[in-house]
Amino acid sequence: MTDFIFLLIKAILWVAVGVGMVPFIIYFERKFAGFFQSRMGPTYAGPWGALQSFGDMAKLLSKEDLIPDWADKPVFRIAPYILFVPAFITMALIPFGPMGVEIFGHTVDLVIADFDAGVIMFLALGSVAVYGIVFAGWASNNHWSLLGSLRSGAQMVSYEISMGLSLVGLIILSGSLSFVDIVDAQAGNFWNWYFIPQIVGFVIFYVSSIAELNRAPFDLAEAEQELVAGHMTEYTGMRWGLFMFGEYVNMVVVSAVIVTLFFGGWRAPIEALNFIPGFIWLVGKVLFFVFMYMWIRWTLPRYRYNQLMDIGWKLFLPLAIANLAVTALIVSVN
Amino acid sequence: MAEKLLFIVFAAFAVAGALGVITRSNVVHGLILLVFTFINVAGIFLLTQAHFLAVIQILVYAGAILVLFAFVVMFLNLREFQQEEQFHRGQKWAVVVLAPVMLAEIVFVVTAVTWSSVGDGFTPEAIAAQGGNVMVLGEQLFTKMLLPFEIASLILLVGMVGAILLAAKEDGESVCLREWDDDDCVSASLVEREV
Repeated sequence: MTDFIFLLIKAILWVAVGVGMVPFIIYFERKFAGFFQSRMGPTYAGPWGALQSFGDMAKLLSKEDLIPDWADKPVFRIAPYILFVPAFITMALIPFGPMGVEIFGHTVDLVIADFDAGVIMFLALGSVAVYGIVFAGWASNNHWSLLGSLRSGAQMVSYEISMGLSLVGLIILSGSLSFVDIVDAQAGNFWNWYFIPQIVGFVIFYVSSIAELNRAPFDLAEAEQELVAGHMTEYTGMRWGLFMFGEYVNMVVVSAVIVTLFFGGWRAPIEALNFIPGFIWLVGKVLFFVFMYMWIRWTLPRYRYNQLMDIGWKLFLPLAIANLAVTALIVSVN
Repeated sequence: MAEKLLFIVFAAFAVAGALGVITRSNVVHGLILLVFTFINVAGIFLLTQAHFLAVIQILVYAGAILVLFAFVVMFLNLREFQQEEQFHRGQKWAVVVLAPVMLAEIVFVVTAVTWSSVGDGFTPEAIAAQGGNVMVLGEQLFTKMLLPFEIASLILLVGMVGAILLAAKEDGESVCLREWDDDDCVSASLVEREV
């Protein structure tokens, strides 16, 4: 029974952190966008515009929920949920502290699910999330929506391959598919983290993750000059808000995966700093990578669709395979 | 107890989803229900401690294969298809004959195979002691089951080559979005350049 209660607490904690961060991330995204473009960003609501996201949320909740007459209504309704449910399941796999900690006399593992095949589970959930966008575009019964969702579907399926392959080298090094084991294998100071031996894999994974998240410079699916808003064109009010929300939750989760795989997860960069709880390190590192996504988004112009496919298939795929081959060779020689 | 309850939930959802797949006339609804069914089957795999199999079930079937189905379905103009007579009349009667044959086959296979030879020494505890699901399955695949594994991949390769051969267009041939509508046709070389 106590196990179940601790599980519940951990789950609530993760969901609360994941969801609670989103309004602030959206605020910072807009503020940073302003700074990168020599503007102020939101300034009116609250001090420095800090309450802007909450105002937007209230606005979205109170807006009318329009469903186009020719839309496929049941599919139109469930599509936004398909996008963010996999993100929450992925959160369960991310360890946020050591195993077997004593809390009020109970031994607790600071992870919700130490899953045998965690890394593949993450990739599998990512491939399920594609349906959210694909079905949203189809159900809207709108040319722009359909084109947007087709683009995004093709893009996500293409980049999934190099994303998966870029992780194989890391899996060879750690000898495990479990996130917990991978973090344990990176114990010690920051030069034990996998981003150093797997720098090629990290770069491929990071750029592919931008494509998976449909963010600029790979946001072809919602290129506003061409497709209005892609798969979100027909969505209004809170249903649109759910897409927005799902995008940012996905961003947090993918950042958490990157941190866990390549940057030591909840571990401190230097062993002497281990007195600070792992959860704080994890959230701090995650916020850094979320900031990197924003930085890239507001700095680089959007790629053309054929360039996007070229990068995925002609550059990243061979590079990922080369990285895998070199890693396998070095590991087998040693 | 909890496991039994979860099994009933997963099994009921899987069966309900599968029934939905064959009764929906809307292909996309069928597709969504098929994804749902696969995910529930993955849940049943999880309950039997077959983690790797469950994840691969989601990754390969629900994630990869059905996304391609979704693409094909979305490129077709379904609303016009639905109004057409699309089912062969004789199909119903073929089902009456083929379904019992299929059932008999399954019953025969289940009763004829001696399952003990398959399950030797692979209890959840033994697997955990040997380093987990992925490790044990991988070892089996690349040692004892190497030949069937390679044959399976060869069959997949043949399928892939065949699909490419069928899809390859000769230069000058035209590509149509909808077969009955000539206005939509463009020459294949143009499509290639666009792609």
